[in-house]
Amino acid sequence: MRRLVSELALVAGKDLRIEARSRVTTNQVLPFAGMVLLLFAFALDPDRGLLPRVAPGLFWVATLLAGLLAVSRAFAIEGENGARDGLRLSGLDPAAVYLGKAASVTLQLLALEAVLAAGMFLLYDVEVANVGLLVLSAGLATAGVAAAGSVYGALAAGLRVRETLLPLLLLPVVAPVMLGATRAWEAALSGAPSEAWPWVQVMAVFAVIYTALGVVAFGPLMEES
Amino acid sequence: MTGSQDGTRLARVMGKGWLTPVLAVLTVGSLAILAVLGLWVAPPDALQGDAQRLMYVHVPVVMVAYLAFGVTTLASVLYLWKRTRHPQWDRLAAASAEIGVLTTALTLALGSLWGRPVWGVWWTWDARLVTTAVLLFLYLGYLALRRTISDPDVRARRSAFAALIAFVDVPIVHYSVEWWRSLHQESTLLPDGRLDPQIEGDMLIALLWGIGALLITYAYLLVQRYRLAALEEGFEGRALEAAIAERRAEADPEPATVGAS
Amino acid sequence: MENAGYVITGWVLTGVALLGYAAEVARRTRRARRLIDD
Repeated sequence: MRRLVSELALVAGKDLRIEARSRVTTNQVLPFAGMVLLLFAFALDPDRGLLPRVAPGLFWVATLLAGLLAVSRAFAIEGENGARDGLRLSGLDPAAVYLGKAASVTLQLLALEAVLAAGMFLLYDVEVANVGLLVLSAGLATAGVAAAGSVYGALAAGLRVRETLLPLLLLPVVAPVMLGATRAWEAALSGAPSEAWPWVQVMAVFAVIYTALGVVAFGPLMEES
Repeated sequence: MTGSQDGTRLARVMGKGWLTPVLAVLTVGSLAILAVLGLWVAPPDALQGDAQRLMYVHVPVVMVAYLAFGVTTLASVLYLWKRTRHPQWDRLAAASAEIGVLTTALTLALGSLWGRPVWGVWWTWDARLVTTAVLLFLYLGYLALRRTISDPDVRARRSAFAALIAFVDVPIVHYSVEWWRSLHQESTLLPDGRLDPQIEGDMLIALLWGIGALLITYAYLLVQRYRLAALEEGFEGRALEAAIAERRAEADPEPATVGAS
Repeated sequence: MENAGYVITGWVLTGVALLGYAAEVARRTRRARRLIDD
């Protein structure tokens, strides 16, 4: 178990270090998500008082789209210089590789969400009643998206159409997370946290199931040439 | 011929020469009788009138869709499990998924056509409709994934995992969408998405016949598609050459004359 | 029949979809057999 954790940390650390040096998430994905929030404002006309009501939904759509890019990026970096073969030959437990990648994506997305949420509060004129619920549901949702995304990232790895295929594969699957995160955030903003409980459960179940699937599937998926 | 090299039980069943003509006749025949039962013999519904006749195709079609995806999932599991691993399960999964996508799309279309005269809207955010729409996208992704992988073993394994992941998601989607829609009780005019009328007598007969007819249709389409998959596997490279040759022939209807002088 | 448009469209669509698909599979099968026999 300790070996799994240290290998996981190794892989996650590698991915995060690559991000720290290339700054793709901060310089490309984050501005993209911010631009999406702006576009929603153009589409929905701020003067009609609609934005604060639909803010959670818009936030999570922007985050999901950013998540697609983050997952795609996580697997793109393995595509160069035979890195995928390197991973396979390294003797690392595939479960650790999977969990490490998913962890790295989760952390990057959480950081992105923090900045994006701040932007949302400012741009859409929103107030929060229950910050704890906000953070908890965001954490679960992000973990779920990263877990499912990392499995699909492996399924689409090495394919030239990965950029168009991954969204089609991932978005239907994470629909429940989208539902849950939005409803939970609505409850957190409006100050009715008890309404969020079933959604928190759905997202927790989703994250657990897809993490388990990833741990099981990653080994066989990594094996191929 | 299909499966003659395999010798497995599935291959022997799929390989039977008489299967196609028999199933084809049964399919066309039972569908024709269904049309008679559904459009003429069965009485119009007390509340919905003749629009309700769409139920005799809509319900059987959606049942076939779920069955097809169930078969895909089961076949995928059988492929992934070392003891039963065999390309035949991958073929079966793919064939059934294609039929599943076709019938799911048809289900949504029929549902719209049924809903419009009865409710006045083409679509409603009812849990069953939304889940069915998500289901369609899930398996469209599965088919897209298959199309982009050329190595048969890689394709089989990745598709099998994709099928499992999709299947696991379905109950989660269903539950969360249902809970989501149950929070919106305002639509008392729209009967909560349930079109199910009271069925008895001739209507029940027509519906049961419809289910039977569509099951036979599914079996027929499955056998045909499975065989095609087996054939196409044998020579994927040659199929590509043939396609290229066909495209060239389209561009250049007359071959250039050689050695004119 | 009232709402005949919807009803007939639905039934015809069903027939076309199912039998059209069968025909397409049959066409591809014939093509595949031709390629094998070459």
